[in-house]
Amino acid sequence: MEALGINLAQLITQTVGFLVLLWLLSKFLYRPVLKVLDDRSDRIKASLDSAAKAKEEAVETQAKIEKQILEAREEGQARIAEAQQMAERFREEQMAKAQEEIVAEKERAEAEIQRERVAAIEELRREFASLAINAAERVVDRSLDSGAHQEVIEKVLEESTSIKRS
Amino acid sequence: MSRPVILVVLIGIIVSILGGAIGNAFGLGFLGSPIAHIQLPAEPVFPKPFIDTGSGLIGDITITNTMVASWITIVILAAVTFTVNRKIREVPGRIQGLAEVTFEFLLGLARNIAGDNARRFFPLAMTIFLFILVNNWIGILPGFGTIGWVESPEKVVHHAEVKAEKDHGHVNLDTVHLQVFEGTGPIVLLPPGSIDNHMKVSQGYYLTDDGGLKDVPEGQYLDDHGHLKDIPEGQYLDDHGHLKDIPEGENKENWYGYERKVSKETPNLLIKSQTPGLLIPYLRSANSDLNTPLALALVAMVMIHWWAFSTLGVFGHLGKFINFKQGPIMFVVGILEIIGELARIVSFTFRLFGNIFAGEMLLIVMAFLLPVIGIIPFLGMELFVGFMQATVFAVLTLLFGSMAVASHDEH
Amino acid sequence: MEGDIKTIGAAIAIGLGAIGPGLAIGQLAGKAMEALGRNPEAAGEIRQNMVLALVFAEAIAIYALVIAALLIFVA
Repeated sequence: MEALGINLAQLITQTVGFLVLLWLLSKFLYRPVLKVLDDRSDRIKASLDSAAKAKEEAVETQAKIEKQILEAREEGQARIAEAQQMAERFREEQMAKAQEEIVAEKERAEAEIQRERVAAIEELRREFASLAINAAERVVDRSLDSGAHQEVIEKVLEESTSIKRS
Repeated sequence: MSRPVILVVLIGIIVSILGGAIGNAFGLGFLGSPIAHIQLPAEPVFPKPFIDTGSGLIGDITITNTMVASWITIVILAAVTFTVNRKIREVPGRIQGLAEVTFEFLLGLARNIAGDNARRFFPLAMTIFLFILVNNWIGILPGFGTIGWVESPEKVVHHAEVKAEKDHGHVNLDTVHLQVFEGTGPIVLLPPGSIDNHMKVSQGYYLTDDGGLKDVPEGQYLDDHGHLKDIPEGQYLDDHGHLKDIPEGENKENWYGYERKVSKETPNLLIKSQTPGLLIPYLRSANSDLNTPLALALVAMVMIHWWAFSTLGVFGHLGKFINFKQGPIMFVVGILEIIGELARIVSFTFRLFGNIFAGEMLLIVMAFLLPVIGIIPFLGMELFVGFMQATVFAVLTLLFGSMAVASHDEH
Repeated sequence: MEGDIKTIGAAIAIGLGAIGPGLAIGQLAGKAMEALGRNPEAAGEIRQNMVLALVFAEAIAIYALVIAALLIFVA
């Protein structure tokens, strides 16, 4: 052992020196530096987490906004389509109404004409009847035989019918 | 690369080869750095023991150069600790950033290996890593192993005698080598171009009748029988220690000049302005001394078993090693586990020690073979080896720790 | 003579001791390259583990070197 240079006193000295160093470094170097490293890694982790969360949120918000835009667009289109439809319908309705009105007007006009015509014919007939009666009175006044009587009535009716037909 | 760069590199290589060991064979070797004295035990920083206990068990308490190196490491790490600790902030500065990178590296290793126990094992593994890393890296700084005090030849011989006494009783001075330094004051330098300045004690010196060691006086030499003789007028000693005639018209003084080499083959050329002795460096890489890796290994293994005891309970952990319940085969396996634990201490120790010690030797040899440029790539390699050994020690501590706290059924 | 035998012993120790780690390192690097060819994406991890394993293989050669050094400087 001596030839190798191993010597108890030197061995103890080196051991004590190393143990002192171990104590010194453990207390004054490792503890604070490890604490700093831990703090930093914790904070990096936390900030990474929050960054990931923020990113997630951003993505979520983006998606939401896109969805909203899409919805709005769809809604707008639907509204437009609806409006168009409504307009179409309205137009059609108005058209139909106008048509109906026209038809109704026409019918009414026709009916009026018809009624006026009937009224005119009625008037005429009434006029003619009174005329005929007048004529008949006059004929009667002049005393009339049966043959002449019959002939006159026939003649008057004949005339009135021809008026009616025309 | 441009042409001038190639030229400079080429000149560097040629100068390095010529100035180094190969050139030395042809009488050049002007850049040769001395081969440092290599020995396993750590050298004392002060010539005298710090406290002389006189006890055989502990021995003299000496402050060795490896102790000083490890204290420097502790001081450096403490300085870093207080710098970081004083202004610890959420946004790290430079030193704190470095500390955090290191922490992340080792914490990652710990999480991979030990899983949930990472935080528990981390302080020990990190301290081991930092201590070994800083030790290894400051160990290759210039000044480590090259600046020191010179142990006198008498002391060197005395140590050799003490050592020889333990072995077989007589000292063979031919195996004791000295270095030769320029100057005689408190600061001495190994002379440049002194690759061969390792001299054997028996050759550079003569032993007096009472067993003392004395250098050969100027103008004298040792003959083949070891007797002191005057160098005759008109003659000088050549590089091989033979007497030669000084050529006509030359001044005799020139032949005792500083450029004269002192080599194994020229034992008697030690001159007055030189100091023989052995350089004992003030600093030496802490892990190149077996005590440091052994201390680390012991602390690591004690801590590992402490963790195991506190997790599994006393009987739960001891049951791994002393196992009567599951038959004789498991008992033998338990004994083998004990041996394995001891082997771990040895392999921990010698892996670290061997790598660092081999690295130092490698650098010394490369500085000898290819001075100036030869060690540059190896310095880089030593940085890498120092880092890898620190990592391996820490990783193995974590691994053994997580194996030890796993209960018996799991593995 | 004593020194000569020591030197030979040290040379044999490191010489024989380097064979095993040499083979191991070759095998390791070869297998790592194979793995790299099969799975180039895992280059970093493969390299890291390879270097770690190489260090363990190399440590065996270092043990032999320590023995050689012990023979020369201590024994």
